[in-house]
Amino acid sequence: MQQVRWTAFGLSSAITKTVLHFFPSAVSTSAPYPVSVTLSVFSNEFPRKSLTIEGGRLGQPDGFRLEEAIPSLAEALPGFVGLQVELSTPQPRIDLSPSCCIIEFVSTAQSVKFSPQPSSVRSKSVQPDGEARRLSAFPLMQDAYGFSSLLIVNGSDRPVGTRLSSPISMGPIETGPLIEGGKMDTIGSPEVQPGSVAEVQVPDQLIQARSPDECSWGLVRSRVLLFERSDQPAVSFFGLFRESVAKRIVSVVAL
Amino acid sequence: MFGESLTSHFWVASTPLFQTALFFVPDGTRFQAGMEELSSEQKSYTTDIKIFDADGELINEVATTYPIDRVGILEIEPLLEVCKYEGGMKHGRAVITCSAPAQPMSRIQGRDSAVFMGELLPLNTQQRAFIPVTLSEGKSSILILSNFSASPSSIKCKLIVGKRSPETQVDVPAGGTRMLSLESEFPEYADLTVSRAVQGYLRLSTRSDDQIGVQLFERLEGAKESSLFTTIG
Repeated sequence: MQQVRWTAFGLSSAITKTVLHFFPSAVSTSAPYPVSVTLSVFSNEFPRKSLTIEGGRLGQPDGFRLEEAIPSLAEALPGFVGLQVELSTPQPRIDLSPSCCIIEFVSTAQSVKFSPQPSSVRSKSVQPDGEARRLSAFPLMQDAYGFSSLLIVNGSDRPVGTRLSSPISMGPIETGPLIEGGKMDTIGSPEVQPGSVAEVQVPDQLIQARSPDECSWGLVRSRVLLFERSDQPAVSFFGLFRESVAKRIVSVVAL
Repeated sequence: MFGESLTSHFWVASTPLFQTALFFVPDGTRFQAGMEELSSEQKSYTTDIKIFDADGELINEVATTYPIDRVGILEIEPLLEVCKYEGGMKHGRAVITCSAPAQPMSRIQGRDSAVFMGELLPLNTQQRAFIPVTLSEGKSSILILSNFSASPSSIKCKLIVGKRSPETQVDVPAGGTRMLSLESEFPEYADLTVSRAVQGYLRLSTRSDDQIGVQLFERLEGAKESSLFTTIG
C-alpha cells in the first residue's frame, strides 16, 4: 500500500490549536524514501481546502500546526474541522500501512493527543456487504470528572445518517433526538452533511434515568449508546470526554 | 482505543496522586439482531482481568459480569494492594479478556481531573512506535514500556529534537513493565531555564520478535496539589 489515509478532526478556536503529527513507516525498509502529506480541511462553516506538503521522509517523525499549513483557519476559527490526512510515497512496492498519525490539541492549560484509525483498517473491520451497517457501542458517562459525547466526521460527498439508540433493562431499544450541529431528518437518526463535523449532545434526562454506580470518587451515571456505523472510509466516529466545569475536551477515543 | 481483538493490554497504576479505573462497554454487534433475539447467556458479558506487576509476576486475577445494557466499571486500586513498588509507584499491566465481545477502556483519575488512556501502543520488529513529546516546566513525562512476552526484551528509545537524537536502551523483564522519566533520562533537554518548552518525538524500536506495548503519560502540576494528565487516547 503506497498510501495510508486517516479521517479525523481538529479544533481551531481562540484558545485551542491543532498540531498534526505523523510517522511514515514501512514494513520492510527503513531507507529514508521521500514521503508527501496531503491534507484536506473542511467543516460546516469552512470550505474544503487541500494542500500537499513535500519533504517528509520514511522513518522520520514530523508534524506541523494546522494554522501554519492553512492560515485562513486562524481568521475563521471555525471550531471543529474535519481532517483527511494521506501519506504517500512515489517509491514502488513500499507498504506504508505501519505509519501512524497523532492529532494534538494544544492550549495553555493542557494538551490532548489521540490516534485516529487508518481508513483502510476501519473499512476492513466493517462488514463485507456494502449495504449492511454495523452497530457500534460507546459509553455515555457523567460523573464528577466530566461527561462524554459522540463526534461524527463526514468527509465523504454524501450525507450520512446514523441511527442512535440505547438498550435498557432488556426492554425495547430507546431512541431520542440527540444531535446538535448536523441536520436531523428522523428522531434518533441524525444526518451529518457532506464535509461536516457533528457532535452528538445527549440530553441529561437520558442518562439521569438510570440508577448510578457508586464508586470511590462518587456517583457515575452511564448508558450504552449504540450507533450505526457507516462503511464509508471517509466517515469516522470519535468519543469525546469533557471536564465538567469549563467543558474542555480532555480525552478523545477513536471508535 | 477500541479494537477488534478480545484481549487487550492496559497500563494500570495506583499512587496517592492518581488511580486507574477500567470501564467496559458491550460490543454493538451483540444488538444487531435486536434485544428480543438475545439468549439469556447473551444478556450479560464477562471480563477476565489479570494483573501483572512491574516484574511480570501475576499478582491478581478477577472476573466480573455485567448486564448487557450496562457500562461496567472496575476500580483497580484494591487489585494492586500486593503490588510491589517500581519507580516509586505501584504499577503494572492489566491483561483483559472479554467474553465475546466487549470493549475495555482505561481512565487515569487524580484529585480533580481524569483522562482516558488508550491501550498500550504496539511495538515489534514490524511496527515501530512514535510519540510526540513536549518537555516543559512543571510537567513530568513518563514513558511506559511493557513486555507482553515470556522472555526479556530491549527497547531502543530515541528522542528526536531538531537535528539531535540522543538515544537510550531499556531492558524490560519478561511480562514486566518499566517506566522511563524523560526529564531524568534526557536532562540536557529538560533544562527549562534555557528554553520555555522543548518539542520533539520519541521513536521506539526493538529487535525482538516479542510484542511490546508503549504509552506516554504526562502529568502537569496544577494549583493546590492538583494535576492535569495527558496520554494518547
